[in-house]
Amino acid sequence: MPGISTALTAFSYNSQVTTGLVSVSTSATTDTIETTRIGDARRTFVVGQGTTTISGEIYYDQADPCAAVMETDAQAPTSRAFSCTYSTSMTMSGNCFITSWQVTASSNDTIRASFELQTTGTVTIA
Amino acid sequence: MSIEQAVRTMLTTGSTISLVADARVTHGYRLQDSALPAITYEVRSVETATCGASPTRVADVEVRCISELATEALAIAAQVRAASVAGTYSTIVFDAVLYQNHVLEAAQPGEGDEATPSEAVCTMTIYYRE
Repeated sequence: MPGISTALTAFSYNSQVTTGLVSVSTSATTDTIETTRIGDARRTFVVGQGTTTISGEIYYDQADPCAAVMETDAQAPTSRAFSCTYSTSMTMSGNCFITSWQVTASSNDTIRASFELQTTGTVTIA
Repeated sequence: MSIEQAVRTMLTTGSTISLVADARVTHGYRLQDSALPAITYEVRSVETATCGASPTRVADVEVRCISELATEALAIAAQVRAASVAGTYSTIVFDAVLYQNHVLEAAQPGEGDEATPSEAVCTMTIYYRE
């Protein structure tokens, strides 16, 4: 049964759950290595190395402990634990470091921050 | 508490809005023969903007400042703008109050012995958490 992104969707960085999560996205990609030989009718591949990246958007609030750590780390990235709970029994967790932090303010609107994280090592899915 | 109650609390807190007595700040409508000046307000829509256990919600609020004089309606609108600030009202936390604009609707002569009063219609967006 698909989950619904309401109260159960939560994102934490350095064990700090953000209080203003607008959206979050995780992307798992795997490289491929081609092993096709001349004369083969179909291309063949073997599995290469894989990685997972995370991107998201939050309301920019320095009182939000998650935003505060991200903002500090953006100046000196360091490996932090992360956890992304999409819904009941849909959690991804592991370690990551921040690769992008962008704060945007526009006239008469709330200030938002978008971020990108690079995971390192195994991402646990539970 | 409801967002409607919290908006009224924001408007009546303190004495920022001195041109209109608290009792004349009403939700939705006012009786045609009630005293002026007055304020009516309406929460036109509420949307959920964030995830999490205590999500931020966004309310689109319209406040109508009603007076026999256009200049007074505008003066009340200025006070409404000053009163529309972040804070905790009726246990609801207003994280941000964005005063978007106001539009003056001039008084119109009625067919009978009463004219329609002037209204300064203020629009604001409130980010809040319950």
